[in-house]
Amino acid sequence: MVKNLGKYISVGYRFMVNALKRDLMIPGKSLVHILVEVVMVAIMLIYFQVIFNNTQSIGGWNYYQTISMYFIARVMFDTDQALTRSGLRMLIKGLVREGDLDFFLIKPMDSMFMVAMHKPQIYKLLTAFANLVLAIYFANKTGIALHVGNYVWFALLIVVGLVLYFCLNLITLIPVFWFIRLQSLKDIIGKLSTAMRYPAAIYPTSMRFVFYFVIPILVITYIPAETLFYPPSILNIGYAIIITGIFFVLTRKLWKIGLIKYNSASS
Amino acid sequence: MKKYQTYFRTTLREYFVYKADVFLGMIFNIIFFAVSFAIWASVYREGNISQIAGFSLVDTITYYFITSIIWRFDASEETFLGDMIWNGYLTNDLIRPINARIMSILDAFSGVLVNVLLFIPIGLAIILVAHKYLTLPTSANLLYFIISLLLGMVVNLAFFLIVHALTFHYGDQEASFDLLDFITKFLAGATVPLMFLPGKLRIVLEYLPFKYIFNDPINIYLGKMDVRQIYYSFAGAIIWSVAFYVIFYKVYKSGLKKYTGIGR
Repeated sequence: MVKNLGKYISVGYRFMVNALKRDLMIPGKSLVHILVEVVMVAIMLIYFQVIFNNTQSIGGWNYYQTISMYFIARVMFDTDQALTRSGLRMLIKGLVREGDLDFFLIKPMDSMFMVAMHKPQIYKLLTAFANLVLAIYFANKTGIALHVGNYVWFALLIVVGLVLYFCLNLITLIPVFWFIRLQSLKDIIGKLSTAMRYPAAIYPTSMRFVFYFVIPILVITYIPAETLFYPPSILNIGYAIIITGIFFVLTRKLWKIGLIKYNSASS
Repeated sequence: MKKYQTYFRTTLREYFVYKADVFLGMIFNIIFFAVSFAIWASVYREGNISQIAGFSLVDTITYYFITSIIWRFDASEETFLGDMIWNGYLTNDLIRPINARIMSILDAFSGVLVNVLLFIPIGLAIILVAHKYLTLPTSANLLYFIISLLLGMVVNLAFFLIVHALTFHYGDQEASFDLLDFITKFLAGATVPLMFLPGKLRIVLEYLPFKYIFNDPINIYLGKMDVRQIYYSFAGAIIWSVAFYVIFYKVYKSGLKKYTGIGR
C-alpha cells in the first residue's frame, strides 16, 4: 500500500470529489446535518454550564479546559465521520450480508481502504474544522500559557488519535463477518465516544484502566488535550503511539481473518 | 382485533430472532449511565455540595438510572414509517387487509416490549453495582410512575409519528428526525434534570409536552411531585397525546393521497 501511495491519494481524492458533488445535489440535507451539529453543541454548552454552576472543576479541570476537551472529542468524531464512518457502516448495512463486498474485493486496491473511504461526508469536515477552532479558542481562555511545543505535540496526537479511533471503530464492526445481523454494532464507537469528552480523573480507577488499556478511548482525546494544557509527557506520547500501532496491526489482522470468513453469500 | 393481535405476536417473534443483537446494543447503552454517574459524582465531590436544586447525589444518580429505563420505552426509535414511505415499502402494507397506520404503531410497541424485557438483566446488574446510589419509590409512587412512563411513551410516539408522516409531503425526514430527537430529549430532561436548568428556561419547558417523557415520570418516582401535580401531569400527557395523534392522522391521511409508492 505504501508503494502505491500516489494511487491511494488519487482514489481518496476522487471519493471526496464525488461526495462533494453528491452533497451539493441535496444541499438541504447537509445543511440540516450541520444544524443538528450546532444544536448538539448548544445543548452540550448548556449542560456544561449547569455542571459548572455547581463546581469549579471536574476531574481537576476547569470550565474552559473541559469545554476545550469536549470540542477536541467533537473534532475526532466529526473527522472520523467525514472520512470513514459511513463507509464502514455499510459493512453492517449489507456489504457483507448481501455480498456487495465483492465489488470492493475485485478492485486492485486494498479492500479495507476502499470500504472505509468509499462514502465520505464532506460537510463533516466543515464541522470538524469549526470544532477545532473552538477547541483552540477555549484552550486559550483557560489562563494556561500554551507554547508552540504544546501545539506541535497536540497536532501529532490528534493524528494518532484519529488512527486509533478508526481502528476501534473497525474492530467493533468486524464481527459482522461471523454473524447474520448485528445492527447494534453500527454505533458502538458513537456510544463509547460519550466517555471521550471528559477528563480522565472523573472516572473510577477500574473504568480509567479500561478506557486507557482495553478500549483506549482516553488515548484518543484525553492525552492530546492533556498535552495541550500541560508540559508534554514523553511517557503518554510514547504510549499513545505504541498502543495505536498495536491496534492498527490488530485491525489489519482481524480484517484479513474476517475476509477469509466472508463467503459472498448473495445471489 | 384478532388480526392485530396476530400481527403483534409475529412482530414480537421477529424482534426476538435477533435478541443477541438488541442485547449487545443495550450493554453499550450503559455507557451513558456510567459516564453520567462519574460526572455527577465528581460535581458533588469537587463542588463540595450536598444538593443541587433539591437533588442529592443519590437523587441525581437515580434520575440517570431511571432515564436509562425510560430510553427503553422510546417507541420513536422503533418506528420505521418514514423509511417505508420514502423507499416505497409502505405499498406492501397498504394492500394488506390490515391498517398500515396501526401496524406501524404495533411495530413500535413490540420493539419497546423486547427492549424492556432484554433490559431487565442489565438493569438488575446496574442495581447490584450501584445500589448505594439508588433510591426506591413508595408503592404509590411506583404505580404513578408506571402510568406516567406509559403516557410519556405515547406522547413521544405520537409526536414522532407526525415527523414520520411528513415524509409523504416533504420527502426523507431522517435528518429532521435526528435533530428533533436530540432537541426533544433535551427538553424532556433526558440529558440533564430540568430542575438543574436556569429559571427562565425551566419555566418555558413547563409549558412544552416533552417533560411528560422523562422529567415527570422520574420526579414522580423520586417523590418530588404531590398527588395533585401527578394528576395534572397525567391530564396534560393525555391531552398532548390526543392532539399529536389527531395531527398525525390528518398528515397521514392527506399524505396517502400524495403517495405514489415508487420509492426512491
